[in-house]
Amino acid sequence: MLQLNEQLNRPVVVITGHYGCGKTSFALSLAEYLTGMGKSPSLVDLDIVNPYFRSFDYRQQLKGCGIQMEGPVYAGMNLDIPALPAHIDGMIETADLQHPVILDVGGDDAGAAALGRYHPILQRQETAGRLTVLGIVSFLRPLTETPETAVQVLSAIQTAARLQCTGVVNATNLGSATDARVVLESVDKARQTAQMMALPVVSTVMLPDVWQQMSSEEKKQIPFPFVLSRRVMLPWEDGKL
Amino acid sequence: MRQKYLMKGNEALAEAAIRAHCRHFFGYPITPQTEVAAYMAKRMPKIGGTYLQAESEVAAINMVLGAAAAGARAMTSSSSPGISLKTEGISYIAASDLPALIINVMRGGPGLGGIQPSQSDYWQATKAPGHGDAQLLVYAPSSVQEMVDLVIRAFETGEKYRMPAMLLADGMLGQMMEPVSFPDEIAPPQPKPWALTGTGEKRKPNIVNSLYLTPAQLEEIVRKRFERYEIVKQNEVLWDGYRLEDAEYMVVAYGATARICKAAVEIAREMGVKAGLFRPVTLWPYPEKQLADCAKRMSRILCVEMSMGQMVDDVRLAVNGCCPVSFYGRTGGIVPTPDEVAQQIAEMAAVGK
Repeated sequence: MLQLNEQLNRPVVVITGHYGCGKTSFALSLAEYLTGMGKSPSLVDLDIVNPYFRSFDYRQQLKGCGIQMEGPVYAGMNLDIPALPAHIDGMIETADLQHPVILDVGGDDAGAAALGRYHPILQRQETAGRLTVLGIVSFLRPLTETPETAVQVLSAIQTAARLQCTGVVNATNLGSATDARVVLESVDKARQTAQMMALPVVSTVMLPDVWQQMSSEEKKQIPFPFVLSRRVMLPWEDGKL
Repeated sequence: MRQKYLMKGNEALAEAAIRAHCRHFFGYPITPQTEVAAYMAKRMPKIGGTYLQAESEVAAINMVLGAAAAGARAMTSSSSPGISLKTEGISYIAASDLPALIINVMRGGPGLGGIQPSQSDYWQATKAPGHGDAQLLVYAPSSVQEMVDLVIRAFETGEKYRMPAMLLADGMLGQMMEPVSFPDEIAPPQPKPWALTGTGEKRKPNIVNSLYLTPAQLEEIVRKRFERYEIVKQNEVLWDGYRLEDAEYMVVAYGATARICKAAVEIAREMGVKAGLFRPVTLWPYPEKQLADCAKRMSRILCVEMSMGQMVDDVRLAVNGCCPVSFYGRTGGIVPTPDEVAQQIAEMAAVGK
């Protein structure tokens, strides 16, 4: 966890990546992880692209864990308007290590465009060494199957967001069909992606049962494992999957 | 083993169409199907295909008509309000005996409605996809993998019978992610001797037309088309059953609702109710004979939809009074929970006793 913890030594954490790579699951779990460290994080749902399966849907659950949740004004209200509340600016400015802010950004460069509005504020955070930008990758998504295409997508996001990533998170998965092989096969691709961008791989994300499947030899091959619980569920799933 | 990907339903629809040799997509963005167009916009230029965002849904469907007339494997996609705009073009395509694929990722209606999942376009898709005497092939997938499989089948079947096909999904299916794989090889389209490809001065010109001002001629053409529909009804019905072997109570549902009902059947069985699920995969042609056969062995039937009750009409027609049919539905973008449906099954069983 060393690499990830180092990244979390900055109070503003931006989570970006290709559409459907697992950003929301990671953001939700990261908020919980920070709570476990005795911090009081806030999670901001900046997804103005996709009205389905978003972190804002989990606000009640998070509230129960002591995590403050913010999102577009009309999120969860069936209204397709990308309006972001003004006080998100203040949350970013006043964040500190005890009260970190996680920004869950929409997929691709289209989603990252929402960060453009916060550019002056985020640039100040960057200059002050207060900003972490994590690029999430998943190599079992159709348009990011290779390190080259993953770099293309992350570069497009960086351009749209006018921010540079500080670390790569490997979240390669097949949903409930993920097994140890899926994760192990992605390790090299994540390393190459990070190398091409001159960044570290700061964590490898997986579900608890996948981690348990691995032998101790295999576990050693995984750079900085981050075991998270599955949160984004379909209506017919009972939570045991 | 085939390579598996984690894909959103909408992306899988687009990728399946591309792998099925579709190179002409004409669309217009609308939630919750926008990823179909977005994916096509990224992929089509790289493989020499055409992605075109039209100025409106009406323009897009008429571009499909033109491309289909020229023999291309063409498609468009939209969501409920956008499909309403396309219906004029759909009727023209059906009247011109052209194959094409229309995707409807349904959302709550009527009017602008909402952007969450719904199944309230069943009547539109199966009864009145446009004006006039005409039908569409209507496929209703219930998983991301089935979205892939049915896109391929819809293209092939549409071309076989020279008629448009609709893939009727909903916002849940369009937006959810599941592992999928694609067939290694999909057969390229058969030659289309009727297509408007230019005569090269070697044959008589082909004509694609939907205007017939002589009533007798129009009646003749419509009758012929309906003879073809009868063959489609014989050959192209698809359905799926779950735990029907010993069932006394049958749930009928399609699409994402069928997934919920499958979970509900399990819960009902734990409660001691012998429940099963009948899932129509083609909504037109409707599996009426198969449904009627299953109904003979049931005490009661419950139809569940994300609407105020539309497919239930076809269930009642097929069952034809041989056992009582009740309905449970949620609408406006609300997705019923498995527990909620299981409760309905239990209540139906209590009445039956």
